[in-house]
Amino acid sequence: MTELEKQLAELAASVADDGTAARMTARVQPMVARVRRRRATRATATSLAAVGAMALAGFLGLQVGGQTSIIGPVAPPSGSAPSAAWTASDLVCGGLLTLPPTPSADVSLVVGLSGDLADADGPTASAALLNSGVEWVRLSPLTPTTLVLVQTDRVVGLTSRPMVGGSFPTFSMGEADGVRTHLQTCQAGQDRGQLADGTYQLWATTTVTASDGSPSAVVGGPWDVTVTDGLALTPGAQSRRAALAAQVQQKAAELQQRELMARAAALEALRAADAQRNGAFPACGSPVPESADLPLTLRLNLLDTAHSETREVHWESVLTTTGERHVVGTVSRAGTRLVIARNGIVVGLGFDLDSPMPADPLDLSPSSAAAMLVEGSLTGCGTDAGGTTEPTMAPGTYDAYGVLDVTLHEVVEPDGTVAARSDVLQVTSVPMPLRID
Amino acid sequence: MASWDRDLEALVRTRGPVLVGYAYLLCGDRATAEDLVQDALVRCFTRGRVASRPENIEGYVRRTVLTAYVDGFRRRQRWAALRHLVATDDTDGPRDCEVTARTDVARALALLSPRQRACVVLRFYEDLSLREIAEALTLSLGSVKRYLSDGVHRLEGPLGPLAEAVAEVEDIDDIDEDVVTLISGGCHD
Repeated sequence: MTELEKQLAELAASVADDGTAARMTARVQPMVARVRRRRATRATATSLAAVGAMALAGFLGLQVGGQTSIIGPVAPPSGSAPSAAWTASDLVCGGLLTLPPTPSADVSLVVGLSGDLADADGPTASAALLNSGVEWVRLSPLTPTTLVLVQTDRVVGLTSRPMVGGSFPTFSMGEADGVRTHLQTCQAGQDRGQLADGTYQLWATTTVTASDGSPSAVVGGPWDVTVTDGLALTPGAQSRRAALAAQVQQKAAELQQRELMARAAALEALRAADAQRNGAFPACGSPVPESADLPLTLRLNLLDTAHSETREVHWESVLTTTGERHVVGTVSRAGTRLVIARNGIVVGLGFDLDSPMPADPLDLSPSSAAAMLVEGSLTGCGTDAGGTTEPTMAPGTYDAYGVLDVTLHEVVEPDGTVAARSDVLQVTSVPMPLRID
Repeated sequence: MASWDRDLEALVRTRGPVLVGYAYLLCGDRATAEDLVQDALVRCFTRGRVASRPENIEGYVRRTVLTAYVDGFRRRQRWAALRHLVATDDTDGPRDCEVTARTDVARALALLSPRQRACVVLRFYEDLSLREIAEALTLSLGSVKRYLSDGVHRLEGPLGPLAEAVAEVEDIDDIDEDVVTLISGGCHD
């Protein structure tokens, strides 16, 4: 090990003290939240909806599809007014539940009940929390989720346990998770774990912390439950699953609509910028210009080779000078934009969902390069005026171009000639094949 | 908690300080180093590909830290990449000999340009070859060698003679370059 290697190692080690470890550990949850938000924001409307739908259906579908389900026909939660939480004294097995709260709108609890009544532990109740309308919510492990089975306003079954493991899990919009536990029954005249035939209502409640920091009660229900003939398999399990899936799809559609509106707004901003170019490249429908002899050249390295429509893409653009020139200028705040073309006509664009970046000074010598990692989402040209229809790009192989605007300040030729410039150079890369599945 | 949550938490717990140390060598500021590592972790885990290859997580993060630093903290944080040139180091503590030596190294590194600094750190801390540095920084082999040579000679000002390092730059990288030339020649055959 050379002296320099030793000195660098000691310097790096001097930073890695206990304080650093503590500060980085304290940043884990914010990092997890950022990753969740970025994943949720960047996911397409379709995939976002699918995540919520699959998580919810996967969780509850498994429960409803249990061997001796006693869950009755599924009815969607009624109402959408702000919730009024129960107090602890309300939730007593055998007690009267006189103040039915109304379900929450943006954060939903979906509940189900299944199980073998011969099981001494009682029927299994399940609840899934779905964030369907806010940026994120946090669920404290100290706050249990309570499931309540009610018959004629009297609590006949009750259970309470934390919904998920881990510390303060964060649910971004579209994410769901659940709890599954045995319901402790206390019906008069029935053994523990048993329920008399009849009609019941199932509720669930928990407390979450919203993105604005305020705690709020979330209530799901009422879900009608019909117990028939004790151990018998309740007929119509398929229809119940279908009904549950329909509700999940309804939630998914709401998520899709919200995401589409956000995407449409971003797309409109992009279109507005393109409109200022009077339809010139790289506006939708414009022809890709022929390559020109410029003092700068752009190379595009797609870090992923296959993309489904509108999915996030990662690419790297590398800017270098041509002809041994030295170039000084300013890179546009829009950065490198991805332009998708077919047969020489622009049919799609890529845009970054992140906030705009400041213009960046550029000072490129002949032997240097400026590499930029660019992330964004693909969108096709031709959404409808309302922006509520997902842009369509047919599967296939397209030509991907990187386009970067550079305001030139100075170009130094190899012979030392210096030219002061103030024009904006649009640097377009050579095309790269891009496959959309 | 999803598997990537656990991977992220475990990585921060077990390797977080080391990653911050690496980022500190690049940027020269502790707070910025922590921001760089946090930003790199978020970017790596957002992409999702990291989670499927846990054995490479740290490598991904180091590469992303380097990219973020060289790109000027995703370009919008250019100031963060340059702050070390004017900022005072916050690691000042007891002024014993060892601490003074570290401070000297930190101040010497601050004299280097971002690319010189990146080349020096990658070569003498990460132990990357000339070719690997060129690939990581998207530079030519000649540029990397020039940055390394200029960087090491510049470090000699405040740190004194670094004969071993100078020899390593001039000798070992010649071997690297020869190997690259041979490989390139073989590919064209």
